[in-house]
Amino acid sequence: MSYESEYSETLQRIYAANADVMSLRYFLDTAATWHESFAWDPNDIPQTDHAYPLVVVLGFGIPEELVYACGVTPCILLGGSHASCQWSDDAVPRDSDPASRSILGYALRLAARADIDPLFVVPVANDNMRKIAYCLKLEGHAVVSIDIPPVATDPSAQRAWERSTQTLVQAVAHHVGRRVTARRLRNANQLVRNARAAILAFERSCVERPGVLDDEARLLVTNTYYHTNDLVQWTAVLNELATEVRARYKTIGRPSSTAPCILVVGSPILFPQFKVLELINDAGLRTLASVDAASTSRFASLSEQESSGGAAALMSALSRKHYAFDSSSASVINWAMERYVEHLLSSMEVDGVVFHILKGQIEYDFALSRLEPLFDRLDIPVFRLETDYQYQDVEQLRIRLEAFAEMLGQRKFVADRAYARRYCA
Amino acid sequence: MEYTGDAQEQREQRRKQRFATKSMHMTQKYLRRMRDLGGTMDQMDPFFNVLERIYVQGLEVERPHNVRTVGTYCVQVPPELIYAAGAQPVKLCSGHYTAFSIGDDVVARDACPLVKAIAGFEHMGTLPLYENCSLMVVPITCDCKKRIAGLLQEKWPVHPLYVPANREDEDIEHYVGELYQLMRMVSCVTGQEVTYESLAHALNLTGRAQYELSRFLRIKRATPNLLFGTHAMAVMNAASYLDAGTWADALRALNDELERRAYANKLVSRKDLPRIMLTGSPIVFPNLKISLLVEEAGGMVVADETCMGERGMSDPVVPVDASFDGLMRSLAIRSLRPCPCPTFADNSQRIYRLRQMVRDYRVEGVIYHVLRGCLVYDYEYRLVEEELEGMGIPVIRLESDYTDQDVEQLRIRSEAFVETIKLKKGPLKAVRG
Repeated sequence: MSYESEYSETLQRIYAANADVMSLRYFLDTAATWHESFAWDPNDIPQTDHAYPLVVVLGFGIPEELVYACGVTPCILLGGSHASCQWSDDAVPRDSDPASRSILGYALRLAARADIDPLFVVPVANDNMRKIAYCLKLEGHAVVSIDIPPVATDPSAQRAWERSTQTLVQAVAHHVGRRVTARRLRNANQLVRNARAAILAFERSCVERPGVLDDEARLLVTNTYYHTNDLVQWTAVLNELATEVRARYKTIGRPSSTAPCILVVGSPILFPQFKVLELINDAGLRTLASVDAASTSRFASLSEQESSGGAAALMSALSRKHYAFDSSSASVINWAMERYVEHLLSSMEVDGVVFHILKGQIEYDFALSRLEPLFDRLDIPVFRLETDYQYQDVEQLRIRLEAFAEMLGQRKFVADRAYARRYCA
Repeated sequence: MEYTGDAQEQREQRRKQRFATKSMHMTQKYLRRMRDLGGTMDQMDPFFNVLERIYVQGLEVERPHNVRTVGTYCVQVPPELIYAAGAQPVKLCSGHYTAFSIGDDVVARDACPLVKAIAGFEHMGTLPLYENCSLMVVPITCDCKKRIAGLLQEKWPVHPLYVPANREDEDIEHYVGELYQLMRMVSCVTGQEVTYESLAHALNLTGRAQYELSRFLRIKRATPNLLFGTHAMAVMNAASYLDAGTWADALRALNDELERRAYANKLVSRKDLPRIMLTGSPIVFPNLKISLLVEEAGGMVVADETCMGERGMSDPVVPVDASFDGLMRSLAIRSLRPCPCPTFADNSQRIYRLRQMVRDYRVEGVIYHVLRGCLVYDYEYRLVEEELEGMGIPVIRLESDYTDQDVEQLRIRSEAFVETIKLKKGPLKAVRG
């Protein structure tokens, strides 16, 4: 499958399933535009005398507010494309995970362009990122690797992390030639906070009003947070979309509530690789929420009260808050993710958990073994779904997921019947 | 079938017994293969004996009464700090196949075998080397070590040591702080304060071991055929389970003997065997299959750039400031600056070191060892290959696991590699002749 057909087919599928939702079109366009910008022939590299500076962030783990505060929109590469994995095939070992391969593929595509002058910001959240930073540096690119201390409870870790974020700001500010001031930091924080608040409100609307948007569309919308060039407009349209979801729910009525509800935890599911979501939907399961490396960072913005003081104090506050909510794979134990899962399980009626693990991302396997006692205690079945970005395993996964969905359905049916007997006896 | 409490306990006991017997046989097999290579000398016995003591007899490390052991994992943990606090460091990185087979069911499938073996020992709880540790210091050098730190915490007191990905001045500064924290932690366990005197004494102790190691390497560099590389690796592996003084004494005796043999031109093999260097993922006893295969195939492992080999101890501490803080700083600098571990984002250091070693040991071929799942080393293979190609040195990547199943495949590849180097040397000889 070519790169172009990979993203366009997913977009077409999402559009076909949600064609009535007008505000969704903006997000389809945003995703399409972002992905089109990588769809060029490497043999046809445009030559230019002037290269404009670009800040490219590889993966999760840094507060994006700090890049926005330098007056530049970060180009955030998270992976998700099987075709882009092939662009980095020669540079990575066989066992590296597909997300990192894809990230490096995108990065190499950007690096080959003569019209941009990229600064690669690499949060060292795992081994792949550590070595990708080295690879890019050896190729002669500007790279700043941001170390994330692995033990959040260590008192010196906080200081080390603040130092890392200072390095980040200095490097970005130097690259784009703009100074970071308290006002810019406050504005950036507000910009990102509004976007995050809109995401949370939108997700709440979708969970409370099922049937208007499917799971793939929902995730595409939140994914485009990383693809937009205009976060203000993006936030405004997202708020419109949430309103539209609420309004449409009134007209389409309440759909059947028999579908078992699940939580998807683990490796991030990223556009255009929505194979897992498609399978979940086909199996008749309903996704209540996804918990991945990006989920908890949505709570990491400074409130109005917290965003006072000078630039140094603000930067320190921002980095502290981000570190407290960081659920990237940098930590020895991913407390932020574990607590968030616990919170969701206690606040939602979850019938089962699909634990998604991308091949090679061992951190999620270890997280699963830590979370298993919790699932056991709450009597929530968990399904470990290991896959990569290829399509060979689809049918095998489909059979397993269908069996899991049937089991959840049966459990739900038995529980409902027992409840009904109590009052109908 | 359901078991009662007693029956379950008996079953568990039998399982542990089976594990202990299997692991003993596995270690014995490798010790026997090492001895079968020939060329062993009496002065090697202390090293072989300690490996046998730990893994065959299942005894704990020899140490004075009341001295606690502190388990460590990578070269970034300075043993000097542990000695200075009155404890004995033991290295817990494992190469055990039987423990690996247990760990395979305990941790993530894609984790590296070294970590699986550690998890296996943790799970079985039969090896005194692990069981008697009062503290484990786990440097966060790779994803697997990061996760194993979390797993070990469930059973032992663990101190995760944050190793920065860069080595700028501020990173060193931060690492000094980390070492102070480690010092307090170890002192807390032993109840002994680290003083200037105790730290200086510990530096002297490890300094003596390093001196003997440098002598050993010098002798080996001058006349590689005095002993097999596998034996040299066993000698260096034994340092993990002996206190630095005892190891240095044993190594001094071996060095004296090697010098005598060098003078008498008493070699263990022909001089013209292909000179091979091993680099890549750690080679931990008893997983010495690669070096054994190379030497059984008629090659000679002359150098070993792995963290359980020369790299582990060869860099000396160089205090430039004689104060206590100065000593701590010199420990931090020694642990980070010269270290060619791929945990560092920029690891050009390793390329320089490899080039140096290729020249010093007159290496004719390099085996790049990659443990399955050891990503950081695998990433660097391409760079090493390019560099060595530029120097005209053939390189082969051998990926292995902690199992005997891949031995025959590895044997064929090692033999072919050794033959290729021999062929390359052949015409040269003819021309000279």
